[in-house]
Amino acid sequence: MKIGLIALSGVRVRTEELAELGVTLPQFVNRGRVIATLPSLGLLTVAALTPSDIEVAYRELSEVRPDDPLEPFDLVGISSFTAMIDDAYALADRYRAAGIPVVLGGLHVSLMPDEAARHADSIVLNGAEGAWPRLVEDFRRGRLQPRYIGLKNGVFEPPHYASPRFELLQGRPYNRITVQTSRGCPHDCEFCAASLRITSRFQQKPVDRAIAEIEQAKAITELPFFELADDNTFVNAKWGKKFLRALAPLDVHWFTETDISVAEDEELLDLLAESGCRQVLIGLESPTAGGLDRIDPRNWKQRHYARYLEAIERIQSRGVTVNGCFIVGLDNDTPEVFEQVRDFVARSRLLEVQITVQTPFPGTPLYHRLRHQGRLLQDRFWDRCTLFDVNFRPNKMSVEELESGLRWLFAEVYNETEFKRRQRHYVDIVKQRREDLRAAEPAVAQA
Amino acid sequence: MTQTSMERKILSVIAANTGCDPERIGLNDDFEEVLGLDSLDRLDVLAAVEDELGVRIPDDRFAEIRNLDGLLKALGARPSEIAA
Repeated sequence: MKIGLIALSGVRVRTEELAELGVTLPQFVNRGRVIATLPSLGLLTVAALTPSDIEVAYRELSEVRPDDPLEPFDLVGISSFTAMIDDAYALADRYRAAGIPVVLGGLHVSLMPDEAARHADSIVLNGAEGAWPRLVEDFRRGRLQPRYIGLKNGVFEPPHYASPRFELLQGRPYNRITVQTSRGCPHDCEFCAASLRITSRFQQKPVDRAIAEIEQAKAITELPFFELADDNTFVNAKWGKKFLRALAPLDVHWFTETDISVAEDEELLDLLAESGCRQVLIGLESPTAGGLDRIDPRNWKQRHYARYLEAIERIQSRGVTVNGCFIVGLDNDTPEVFEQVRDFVARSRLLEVQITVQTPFPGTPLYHRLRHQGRLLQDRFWDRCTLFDVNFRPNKMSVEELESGLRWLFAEVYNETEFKRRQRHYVDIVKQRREDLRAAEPAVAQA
Repeated sequence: MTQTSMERKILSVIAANTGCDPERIGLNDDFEEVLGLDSLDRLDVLAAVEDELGVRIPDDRFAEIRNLDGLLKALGARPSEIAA
């Protein structure tokens, strides 16, 4: 038996003007390229959950050309995300028309199961852990069920945990490898469409398992760069320090997503730098405290707003760059928000910036609220869930103002001059850090 | 500092920061594609060069410094034959 696992990766920019801007905006293009080349960690985990007597093939959608004959699998598994879900459905329909059963899974499928079920013989909700092994056994016996519910908890513990089969990526041109150390995030932001939607509570992988996975992945590629596929890695500082101490000897460079509280712990910051962390992506969301109001149920981000500038400086002074993320179109945003973001970026001296438009991904609390308020522009807009397309009526500006403001802000923040300014700032930080470390050396030696 | 000694010094800085053998770094070896550095590693090398040589690379030259040749040119030095 041979199972084909097909990944849909990448970013989609539908707006022509933004796509054209993207050609000349170095940092926008860089992050887009990175995301486009990330392998599907979910499918590598599905592969690991598959009994060893079954052959598994990992493919990218780009390898399945519309005019070529379909690869003869016995079963096909497709994982996807909202913006490309129609491509996933089209591929699933094609396989099913050829008589090959299809299983769909992933976040969008978990949030919109009835829609996905129309394009699949079976769907998997939540994580594959706790579902996929049963599904495969049922398929072998000719009793494939239409729906399997995976675990929302305990996915990093035996008997459900399986280390992703990184060896399936061997010989493939990925320049980043993803490893997951946690699922979920305690902040529960209204707009978040990440793993917390398929997780009942924040879960963290034991350090030794996370490190073992990184070692396995490191063995299959030269000079790997790791991207932690987490929503908020350093929620637990004690875990974080243990992880970073174990990671440092592996001599890898890596990136992750976390929140601003990471800057409150000097020891953690030092360990971040020593363990090869090159960048932390932090959802700052808004350049104003008012903009953060009620983004998350406990107003955690608004309560931490006053520390933003100091936190960015403290993290970046270690040579760890901060990719500050802003969302425009939040309910308290007025047309002034675009200038406010630009000014905050300049004031904070962020070394990288990600700007997106608020996006009501289906199934999120934001989606349900805007739908209830009659503010969604269309009933079905999944291919417009690109993070750059406006799909709702903003609260304090028009749709047109949000669209044109986003374009203006892109040109202000991502231009060549700003790019060079950020590069110079980074070089100056590294030089200062070298000087500081030299100054600290005699003290260390004496100690 | 003579041109050749500057080259040697830069090569030793690159080697110290990348783990590459200085003897194997060619004049036109792309820092990212051949030496396997990422974009921040490349800037780390430039920072180390500025720090250790006491020079300042013009900000508008960062992007074009993709190899030793580009670095030497940005510093106003002409590469010698030995590094080619």
